[in-house]
Amino acid sequence: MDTEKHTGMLKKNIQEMWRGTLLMAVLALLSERKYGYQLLKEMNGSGFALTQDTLYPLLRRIEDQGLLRSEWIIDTSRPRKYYSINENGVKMLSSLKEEWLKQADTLREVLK
Amino acid sequence: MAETGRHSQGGTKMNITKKADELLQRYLAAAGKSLPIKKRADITREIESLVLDICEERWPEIEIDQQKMESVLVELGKPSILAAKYKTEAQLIGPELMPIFKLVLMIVCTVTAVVSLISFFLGAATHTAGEIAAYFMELFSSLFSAVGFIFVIFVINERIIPNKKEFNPIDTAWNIKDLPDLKEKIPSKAEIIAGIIFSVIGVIVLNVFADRIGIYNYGPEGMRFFPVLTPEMLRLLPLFSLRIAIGAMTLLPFIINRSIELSRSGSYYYNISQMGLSLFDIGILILILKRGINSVLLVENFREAGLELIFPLAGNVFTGVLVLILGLTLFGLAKRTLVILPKRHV
Repeated sequence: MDTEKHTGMLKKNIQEMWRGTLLMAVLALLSERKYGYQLLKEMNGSGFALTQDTLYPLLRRIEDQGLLRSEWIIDTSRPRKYYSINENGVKMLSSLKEEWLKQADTLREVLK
Repeated sequence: MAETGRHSQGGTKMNITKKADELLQRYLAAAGKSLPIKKRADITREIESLVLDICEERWPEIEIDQQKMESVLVELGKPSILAAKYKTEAQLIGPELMPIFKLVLMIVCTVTAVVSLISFFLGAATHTAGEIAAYFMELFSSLFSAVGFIFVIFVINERIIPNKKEFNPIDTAWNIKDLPDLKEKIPSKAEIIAGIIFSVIGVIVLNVFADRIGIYNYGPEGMRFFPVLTPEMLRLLPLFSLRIAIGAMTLLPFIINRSIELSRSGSYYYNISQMGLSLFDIGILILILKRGINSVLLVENFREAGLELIFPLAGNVFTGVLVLILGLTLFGLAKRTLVILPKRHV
């Protein structure tokens, strides 16, 4: 496999790995109320290579699952839609975190 | 700074030129068309908020002109592709295949119609009115079958092609100039004047020459006239005149004050008036449908005029056409209602 192909595949696989953790990251970061672009910048600052066309629809999907609440705030400079985690989201995050830690331990053993 | 007009967005300090705002609204309108109806207003509002957030971050305290707005929108990508990411339900034909579907549909329908027309007119030197009517019914049936066949093929393709983005290079390349024009919502001045002139002609024909509406057949004995409207239908004609007159009058404000054309209130007024007219049309259509073909048309006269070939199907065609018009009117009314309802500007 040439280097270019390897780099391309590696990038793809890393993206796949991150994708699985997105839900958890979003739920965790939304323990405080945030609007979409604010969350996007925060996530990208933390190392997630996210684009707006991935995050915004994802927020909708999580909201549809009943894990987030959203509201339009109009007393800021411009109307913005803010998202925050709700009770179901907190429960889900806790379960996912538990599972994630278990998987991380398993993987650590396998990779030894 | 090319544009003179500018306005602030929702009270923010950020200035955005009218042209840049118009470009943004065109983008949102294009994305809105492909979004789920239930969430359309909310999602487009959030996309608008996102675009303004990006602009504010990149060019704080600087006026956002058309060029800057264009660069942000190009980055967001084709509106239909962006909208598709919000869809959770599977689509029969997705946004990647839709342009090819439309292209194939246009080619097949054009070729079918042209080939069929050529073969029909080369087949015989002269044709009776009945043969022409039968030909059009046959052509309609062929086109309908072709559309159905292509649709099924694309629905299957939608499910079996794994990476449609690569399959369809047409869709990934898009030009910001292709965004729908917002002005199209309201007819131009020339169209309004033409509409009013034709409305006046329509009212005159319906009121003065109603008894001359029919089939004119030119034969060896000269011209023969077959009236087609029943006396009952003739009594209903003032209702049609009224409809035409009201339709023309609703457009008058756009001639008197052209500046309302692009304003929100102008668009609101236009949509509301068109919804009122649609309700009027629905009433008339239901009235005619309930009474049936025999109360509207002197069916026997069609036979006498040489239209025997369509005679056995006349009742079905009549009902079919009316139901189709009724369906389209209801669809138009629903569409306008959805345009009006989400106008929750804060």
